[in-house]
Formats: sequence, C-alpha cells, structure tokens
Amino acid sequence: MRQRIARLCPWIAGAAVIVIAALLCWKAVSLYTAGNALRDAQGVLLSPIFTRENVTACIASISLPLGICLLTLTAAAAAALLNGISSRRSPRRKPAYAAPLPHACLLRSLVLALALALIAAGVMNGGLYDVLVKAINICTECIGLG
Amino acid sequence: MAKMINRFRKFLPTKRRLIQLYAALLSNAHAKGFVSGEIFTGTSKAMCVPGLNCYSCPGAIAACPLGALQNALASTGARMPYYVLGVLMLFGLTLGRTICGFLCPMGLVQEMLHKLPTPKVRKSRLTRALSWLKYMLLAVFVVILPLWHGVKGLPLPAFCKYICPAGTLEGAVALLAHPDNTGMFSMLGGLFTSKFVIMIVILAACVFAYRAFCRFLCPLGAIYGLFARIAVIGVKVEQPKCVDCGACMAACPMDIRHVGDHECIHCTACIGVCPTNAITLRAGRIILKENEAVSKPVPSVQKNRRTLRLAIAAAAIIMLAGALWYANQPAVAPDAPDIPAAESAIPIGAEVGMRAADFTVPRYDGRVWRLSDHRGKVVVVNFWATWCGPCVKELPFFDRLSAAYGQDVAVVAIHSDLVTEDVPAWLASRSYTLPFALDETGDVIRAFGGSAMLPQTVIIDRQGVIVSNRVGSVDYAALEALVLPLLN
Repeated sequence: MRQRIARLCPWIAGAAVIVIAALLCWKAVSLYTAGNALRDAQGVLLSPIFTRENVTACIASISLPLGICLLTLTAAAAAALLNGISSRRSPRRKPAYAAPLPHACLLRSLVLALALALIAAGVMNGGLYDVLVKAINICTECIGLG
Repeated sequence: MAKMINRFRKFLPTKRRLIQLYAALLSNAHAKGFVSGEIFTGTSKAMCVPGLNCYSCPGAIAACPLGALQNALASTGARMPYYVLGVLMLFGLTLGRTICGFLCPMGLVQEMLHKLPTPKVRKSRLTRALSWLKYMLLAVFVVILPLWHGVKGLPLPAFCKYICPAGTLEGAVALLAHPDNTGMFSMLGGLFTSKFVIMIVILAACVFAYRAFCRFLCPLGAIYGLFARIAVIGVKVEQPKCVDCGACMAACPMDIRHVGDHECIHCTACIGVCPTNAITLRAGRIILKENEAVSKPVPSVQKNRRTLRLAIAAAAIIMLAGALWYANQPAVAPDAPDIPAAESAIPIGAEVGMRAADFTVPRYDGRVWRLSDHRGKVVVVNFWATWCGPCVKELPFFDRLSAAYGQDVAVVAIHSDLVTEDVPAWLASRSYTLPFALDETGDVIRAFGGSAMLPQTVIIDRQGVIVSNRVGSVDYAALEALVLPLLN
C-alpha cells in the first residue's frame, strides 16, 4: 500500500503543476478579456486593463486553490524524494560520431581573427554605444508593456 | 544514520550547480535594483553576458546577447551589427554550448524546475525533431523579422517581444512586483497577457521535460550549437578509447547523436558513466574534468588540480565582490532642474495636476521650441528615439494630431539625449510636419519624471497644468480622447 502511494506521488505532483499553470493562465486571460471589454463608443479604453489592485484581487481569488495545489505539490514531491522515486533511464544507444573536422586549428584561428576584427569594427562604428543605449533603457516590448 | 546521510548527500550542489549559481549572481549583481525597482544604467551594460539574461531585469549589469543581436539587426539600415556578431562568435568559439550548461541563468531556472519529482518526458525521435524548432525561431524571429522591420525603419526585436520567457520573468515580473512601479500596470495589455501565458507554459513544460526551453526554443543555444565542432572548451571524446557501449547516450538528458554535438550542453553527465575514461571536459589540451575513478591520476596531479581550483575559486570570488561593489554604489543625484518661481498656487512638478516647468529645446530645423511660447494652447510633448520601436510606430499619430488640431494644440516630439544615428537624415526620409527637437542633456525628460523608459507622452492644458503623463505607446483614438475635452 505504501509503495503504491509512493508510486502515485510523482503523478500527483505533476497534476498539481498542471493545475497551477492552468489557474494562472486562465486568470491572466480572464482579467485581460474583462478589462479589454470596457471601452466607450469610440473604442477607447475606459480604464487600464491591469491595475495593481485588480491583479492583487485576482491572485487573492485563486489563493485557496493555488495554496492547496502548492501544498499538494510540496507533499507529493517530498514523499517521492523520501521514497527515492526516480525516473526511468533512457536506453543505451550507440553514438553516431561525425568525421573529425579537417584543419580545425586553422578554422579556429580564422574565426578568432574574424571575431576580434568584428568587435573592433563594431567599437569604431558605434555598435558598442548602440548596445549600451538599448540596455540602459527598459525595453517595454521585451517585458510585454505596451 | 549513514543511509540517511548518503540519501541527502545526493542533494548537495555539484560544482556545475555552484558555477551556474555564481554566473546567475554575477550577471545580476545589481542587487540594489530589486530593492529600488530600477534597472542598472552603468557602462558595463555595453558588454554582453554569454547566457540568456534580460537587460530589463532590475539586477542585470550587462546586456543580453540575443536582445542585443536583434536590436543590432533592426538597426542595420543605420549601422552594420559588427560588434554583436563579433561577441557572439567569440563566445561560440571559446565556450560553445558550455555556456548553456554552466553559465546561463535561464538554464539554471529550467534545471531547478525539473528537479520537481513529477513524471518526466523521455527523449525520443519526437524530442529530437522538436530540437530543430529553435533553429527556425532563430531564422524567423531573431534574424528575418528584425531585419525586415529594420529596413522599414521600425526596430522590432521579434523574439524578445513575442516569445522570450526570460524578459517576462526577469523583467516584467521583477519590475511589476515593486511597489514604486505601480504606474507600469496601466501599460499592460494583450502583449503582456500572451507573453505571460507563454512563460507559464514554458516553465510548466520544463518541469516535465528537461530544459524544454533550451532544447526546443532557445535561439541562443541554436547560435552556440553552430560552433559545436570548433569550440575550444567542451566535452570531447577520445575515439580510440571509446567502446561504443552507449552509456553516455543513456546518461545524457539532451537530444544528442553523439557526445559533443550541437545539442550537447557539456553538462558532464556522461563523464562519470564512461567505463574507459574516453570522455573528458577539456579546454584545448588541458583536461578540466575526467572520470577520476577510472583514470586514477597520480597524487601530484591531483594536488596541482586542487591548487588550480583554489586559485580559480579565489579569482572568481574577487570578481564577484568587485561586480557587487561596482553595481551597487549609491547613485549620485542629478542637479535639480532650474525651475522658475511659481506664478500661481499650483506647484510645479511632473505629476498630474501640477504645473509643467518651462523648458527650451533646440529644434532640428534650427529654431528653438519653448513651452511658454505656447501658453493658451493644449500642449502634447512626446519623448521618443529612433532606436525605440514603439516610439517610431506611434509618431504618425502625433503628426496626424498636429495636422488636425494645429490651431489649438501644440505638438512637439523630443528625441532622447541618447542618439545612435543621424536623426535629421532619418527625419528627412519621412514626411512628418510636426516639430522635432532634441533633449540635449536629458534634463527635460527628467523634469517630467522620466528617463529609463520610452515612449513617454505628456499632455498639458491651456493653463499649463499637466493632465496626463504616461509612459507607453498611445494610439490616435487615445490621444484624441485625452486632448479633445481640453479644447472645450
């Protein structure tokens, strides 16, 4: 009986992960669709779709199921680890080696020379400054703002 | 007791895990950023870290190579991306996909998630086929789309914008969690929702499939995989010693065909299982790691290796301490802008409801634009830059607003002090009619409370009071909705 429960623990943990992921995705999408629907006759948003208050309220509304899933995940994971349950190994397979690269040293030297030349050219043509300018400003697109 | 100790011994971090933690900490040494909610703006951000680490993360002290590559390709019309290409080649040649196995913070996150004991997806022909998907993402989202939009004058880091989970996790979630960034919530919309869902799905997939993002989606891994055969540091096989037992293939969690191919992340899982010590981690001819149970090195060699490891550890600690000191120095407060005495009871400031301070900026047509010259009109000030894709995309809306309501609305587009190309030439290739100016020192945008995020739009009513001051893109309908009530 104990062994059977121990074998079930990874599956319970997996199910908890899926439920947590589904809850978070569902809440994000429903918050967006609800906020996006509030527009005037010209189609302009009446209020921001996301605010700290509505996101906090949303998280609070799923805190109970989320908490239960996290506790289940923790308990199942702990039980699986303590019982030494591990995943099955992949079968052995003969490696398929490629032929050795001819003139590998020469190729490495050429690539190194080219890389250093490109870096020097980039520093001289202002590429270094471009990287700095983009990196010291928050990339609103990269983090999903706007 | 001994059994229990042995059971817990396997949970102690390996050397590789410690190196991964070290690399994550070094890449994100700006610990102050998580407290202040601001990103690091030091000059070290001109350099790229080797792994995937979003530069909009509050802790990041250097640039992400993938983001830098996309932005560089998107700016190909102005400047060839020599620097970023050279850096990627150098990383690929020296380290190859050892970066994935040892230095990538996103790789560490994926491996920690995979530790959760759930049923796991084993590698198969399907996972091997899926591993080619990252090359398609590299071609389409990292190369073609940024180049295509860059040629049209609209910078678009497509992979960062639409897919990258590191940007959502390290950038968005870390910034939004800070109480001082409450204003950013108003900028969230469909793009954030889709990126958030993608991030959750990828992180969940990583629980079930080892390094799901790294194996199937990461274009940076795809780039470094191209250097697999010539990388100096990596796992190498001495083929005369190999007996083709396949133990390495069974132990490897990645979709390799042989040890050291373009899918190998050089995690050294195969070294410990090789019965003939044919597999070693090498830097050229120097052996960094081997199966010591089989090779049994002499005590003098072991002692030398121990000394070398101690020296490397000491150097690494000094470097980390230096990075933490450099990145967390107290900021020098900029000089307060020269604000004239208030003419009314409303205080001068940058917040909504305050009076906007007067400022003067040089226009690109040689004249000067002064805020006080337009008293009595509604004023729309847009802060933008040629290197900012959303800024460029929304400029036509401001031009249209200026053309439609020019009698009553004064619109000005002020370029950031960070200039990366010939702005007059850029403007000459477009037929905008609204006035363009330059914020030479960055003081003007700072006077309106901004600096690190573009675009920013400030709307000032006829009495000079700020009615809207927001960061983020606006469309024409939103602009009209803000401006028209002020005209009455």
